Amino acid sequence: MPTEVREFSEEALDEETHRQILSYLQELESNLERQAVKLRDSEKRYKDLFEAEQKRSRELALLTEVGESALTTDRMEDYLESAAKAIQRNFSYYDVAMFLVAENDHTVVLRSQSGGYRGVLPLGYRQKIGEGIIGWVAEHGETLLANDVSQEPRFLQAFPDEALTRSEIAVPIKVGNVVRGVIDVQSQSLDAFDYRDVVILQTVADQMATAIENVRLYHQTLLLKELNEAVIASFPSAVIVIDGQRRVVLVNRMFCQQTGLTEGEAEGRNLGDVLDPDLLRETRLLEAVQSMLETGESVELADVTCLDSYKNESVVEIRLSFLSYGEESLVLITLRDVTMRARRTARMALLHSMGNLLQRTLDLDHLLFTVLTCVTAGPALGFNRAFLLLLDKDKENLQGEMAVGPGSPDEAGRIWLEVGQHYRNLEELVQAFDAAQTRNTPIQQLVERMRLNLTESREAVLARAVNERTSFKVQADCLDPAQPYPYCEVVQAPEFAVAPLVAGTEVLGLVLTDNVFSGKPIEDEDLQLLTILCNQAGLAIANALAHEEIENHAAELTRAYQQLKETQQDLVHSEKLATVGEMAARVSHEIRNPLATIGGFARSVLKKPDDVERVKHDASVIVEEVEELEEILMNLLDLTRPSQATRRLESVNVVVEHSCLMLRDDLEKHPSVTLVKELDPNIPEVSMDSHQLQQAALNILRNGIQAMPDGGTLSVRTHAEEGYVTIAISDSGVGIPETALSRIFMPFYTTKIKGTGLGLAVTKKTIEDHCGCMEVTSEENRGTTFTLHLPLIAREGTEQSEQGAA
Amino acid sequence: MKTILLVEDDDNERYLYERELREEGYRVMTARDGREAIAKVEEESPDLVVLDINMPQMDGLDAMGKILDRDRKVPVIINTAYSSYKDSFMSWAADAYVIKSGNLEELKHQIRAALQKSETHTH
Repeated sequence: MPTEVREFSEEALDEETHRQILSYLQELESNLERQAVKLRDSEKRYKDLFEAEQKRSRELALLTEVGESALTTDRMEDYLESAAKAIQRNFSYYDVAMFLVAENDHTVVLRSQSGGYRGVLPLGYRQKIGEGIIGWVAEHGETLLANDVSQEPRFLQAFPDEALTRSEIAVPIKVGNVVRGVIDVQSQSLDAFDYRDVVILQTVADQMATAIENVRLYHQTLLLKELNEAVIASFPSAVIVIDGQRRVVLVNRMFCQQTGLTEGEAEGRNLGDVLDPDLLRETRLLEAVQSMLETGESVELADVTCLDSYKNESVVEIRLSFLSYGEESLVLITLRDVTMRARRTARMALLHSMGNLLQRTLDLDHLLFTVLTCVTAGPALGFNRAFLLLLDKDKENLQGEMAVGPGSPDEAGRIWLEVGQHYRNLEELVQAFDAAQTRNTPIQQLVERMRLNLTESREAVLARAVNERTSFKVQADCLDPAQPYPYCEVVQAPEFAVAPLVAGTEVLGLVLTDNVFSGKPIEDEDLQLLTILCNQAGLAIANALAHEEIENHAAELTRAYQQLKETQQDLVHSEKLATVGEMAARVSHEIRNPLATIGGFARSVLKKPDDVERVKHDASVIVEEVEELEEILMNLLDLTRPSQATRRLESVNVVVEHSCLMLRDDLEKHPSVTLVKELDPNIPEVSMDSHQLQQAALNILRNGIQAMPDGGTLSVRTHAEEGYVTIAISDSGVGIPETALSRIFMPFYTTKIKGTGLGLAVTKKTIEDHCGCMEVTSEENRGTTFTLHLPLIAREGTEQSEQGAA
Repeated sequence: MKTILLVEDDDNERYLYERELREEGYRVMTARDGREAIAKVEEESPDLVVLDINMPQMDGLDAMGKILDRDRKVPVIINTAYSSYKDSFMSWAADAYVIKSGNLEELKHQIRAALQKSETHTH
């Protein structure tokens, strides 16, 4: 380049110079262009470098963030959430979704999402492994990049908006060769991803795989640890391993808890030095170990009762067994505290025995006493006092029924002293029931004052116990002062318990109990026992009430039966008079006949009063008929008249003789009839109404004569049978047809031309009034025999008096 | 003169009715029970039968049945102390049912009416 500057004029420029300048300028120009290209190149290079640097720093930031969140969160959900957010934010991806493989049902599950599609699919959305891009990646464990999803057959549109997706990249999260999850990134631009995205996502995926694995392992470990601790904690026995010299080789945590020794303190010491001396003595454990070492046989000491270190009664079950450990033989001792089990068993036994006692009596008072004794007795629930209230019939009021317990602290002291001296078991206590004594105690007077209206005091504890059928333990100072507690003055203990007496769906009442004198707190277990007892008691009381009702019914029935019997006797008596209609018809016939006759003759007399013979005849007929009427009336009265209880011991023979005397007229009218008497002189006297009996015999004798219009033999025999005197009256007359035999004792039944039909009915009644009986046998044209049996000893006060009253 | 068969078990009543009916101008045959009545009817046909029921040997209703078997046209009047037989099926066959009374006018009236009726029938 020339350094000398010359002024040029156009004319001055020669051709050569001009050419030189032009070529210089051209050179300069091309030089400049080259420089510009170079500049653009380097500018682009710098820009690329800058962007790469920036992306790198984002990658780093992402990795750092993902890594950090792995450290700071121990919940998988939180971790996946923050990882998705970090990826999406750092790379401005349109959408990032995290899927984890669910091993149990062969799916991948959406666990977190960040970006444009967040919330479209619910967390927990499942896609089958092998389905869609994500499923494919989960199945194959390889990254899949689709920069134009319309060309990608594995692309699956899971929701409508996903139609906008143009590019998708899915990277597996693998632990070893196992796919644990998939990172899925989507974009709504074509060609959104390049190899760097693949690299960075794979890096993140690796990092996440580690973190996920850690979290999983962490949880597993945690679980195992908890499990172990739980198992150990719940292992119920103290375990001691000793060697042949009885030195402690090993103890477990339970042992340490129970003895208060640490493992270090226990190990190496002699078995006899690490266990409570009382326990050793009561269980004879050392002897058991000795015998086991000698015989080589396992030993089991079941349920040994002893006092624990707090002097509480406890029950232990001990097992000894051999443990082989190399050459040495060790003894494994397990000491199991079965106090609770033993207590439960004892409770069951107690409930059982109380249940038995409750079933023993159906007497309501005794039963209530049994319930209350079970509540208060030392060998049972052991409360100080117990009150029993029953609901009245309308279920309106609770009324105090019975109470058991001391009336005052002094009395309490005295009773407990006595109980201490003469121990009585529950059964003896229950059997000591004395109704009068129980009704007279001071506490009984208290309970009888207790009364509560359930409707008026719905909220009172006692009402609630009934209405809600629930037991309560009540702190007295928690009672609502607004509610009426008529038992406040009664219950002065700081707390009391109340339990309903339930029978099926019905509440019968409740038991109220406290420890007013001893102040012993009421334990939940006490309340539980009380509740169970009251359930049993409820059923028993329902039974007793039902029984009482049945007894009342039975008494009613007895009364009704008595009435019925009386009515029946009346009826039987009426039966003797035949049915009322028949009776009336017969009576009217019997009376109308003589009446009509009398009337007829009387009119006839009036018609011809001057015909003296005629009047005489008619008048005599009238007299005769009136006599007949009178006789009918007399017999009717005899039949219906109550028998008199006036009886005397008299001879049947004398009665029969009298009847025969009275028969004299009849015999004179029937001279062809012969009377034969065979009276046993040795028969005993009978308690009787001799006049009635005489009439009875006479009736039969007259029947006999009338049955023999052509004459025959009428015989009377008396003799004694076992407990009876018998009168047998036979005739040799026409006999009674068999069809008529059953009716001859019916009033107004007659086969005679003349006769009222009342004689045999009256006779039968007389004999029955004497508690005797009467038989008849008859054969047509051969004769009839009536046999009267009279008992030697009249059954005083039984049928006789009843009949007298009827 | 009309002949009446009087069947009555009670002696006094039989005597009374017999006398009263004779005084009324009838010829009266008597029987104490159903069996005797049937025998009498066989001997001689009465123009009318007065019959007590519930007699011992043969019940009046039985007797009536037998009498009517022989002679369907003879009028029968039941004369009884029982009112309860009035509704009895057998009683319907009788021409009248008279309940015994000291006043015999009813019986006499029924006898007249029955005889009159049977006369118009025969003529």
